[in-house]
Amino acid sequence: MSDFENIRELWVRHSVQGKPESSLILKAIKRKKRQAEKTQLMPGICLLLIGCWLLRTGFFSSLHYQYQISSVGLVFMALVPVLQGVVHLYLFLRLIGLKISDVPGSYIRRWERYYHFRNIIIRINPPVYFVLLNVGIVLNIIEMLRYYSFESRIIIIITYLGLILFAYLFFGRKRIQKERTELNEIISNLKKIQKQIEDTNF
Amino acid sequence: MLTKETVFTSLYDSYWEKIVRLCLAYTGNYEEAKDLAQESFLKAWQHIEKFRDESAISTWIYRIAVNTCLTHLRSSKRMSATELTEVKEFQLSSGVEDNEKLRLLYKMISQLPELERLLITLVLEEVPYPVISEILNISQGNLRVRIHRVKQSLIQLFNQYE
Repeated sequence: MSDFENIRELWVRHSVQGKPESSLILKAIKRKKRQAEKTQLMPGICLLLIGCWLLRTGFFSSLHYQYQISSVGLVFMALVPVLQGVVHLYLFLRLIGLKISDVPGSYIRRWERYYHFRNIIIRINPPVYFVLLNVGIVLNIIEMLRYYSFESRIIIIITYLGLILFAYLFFGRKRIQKERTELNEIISNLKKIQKQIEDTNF
Repeated sequence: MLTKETVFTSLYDSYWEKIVRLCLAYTGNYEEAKDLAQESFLKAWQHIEKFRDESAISTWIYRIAVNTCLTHLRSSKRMSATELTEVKEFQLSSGVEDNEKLRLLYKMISQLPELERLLITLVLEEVPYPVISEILNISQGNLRVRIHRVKQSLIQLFNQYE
């Protein structure tokens, strides 16, 4: 088959079977849309609510701290879910702002910028959250520790430090590394396609 | 009065098969192609109110499908040329020989660079050149040169395997 017309003839003759009913596809589409909103929008809202709940518990409930430093600690802890919630909502807005029927070159560039932003976020967020959360917990725990003996305090502090370092260095690093590899792979693929588009407009 | 659902159903009925074939040529995998086609129609459904008569509906839906295919990136494996793994859902008017040729055709298309896969599929779907030029935002002069080259590559590949 050396002639392109033969190839075209073969192509137009074949049909794809298994077309779902439009009502079924509409159902699936609506379900998928709700799922997308749930995975992108809901975590952001939930995290903001957790932050608000922490602050409410600390400042507007029957729980009264003896030390002012404990309240400062609570603010630090609440900042973690609030900041992450804001990041989630910002990413959600960026995603819905992508114009799907844009010309391919511009559409790919927008995606590339989106993934670059996510790459920056995963570089900055973990150490910032690690510091905020731990400073928050340490400041908060000082008040609680006064009820324990000296030996118990040492055990609590060592156990806490061990757990937090293990979580950050082992699980955290591994997960971040995996995520960064995936993002870099996506960015490099987008660049490859971007180059093809630019080459087409020679 | 035309409702959103009526417009969508008519769009779906007219373009589902063409979009699945476009996605199939891009991915080389029937299941992935169906998912991509569904994703394209999901996006069409979400943005149908934003569609203005700036371009034809065919340009609009094809551009959505092209963009969906091009950003279908989860790992480099998916971007590499893949063979058609599933052909049972195809129906040809003629016999087994055509099925083999079709399988070969998909295999050849999957060996082309991503953008060329989409370009050649649009040509095979007999989408008019001005529409392809609008979908991919390429000038018609460049498009003709590009199409000529892709056709040559495809024929060459075909001849190597046949």
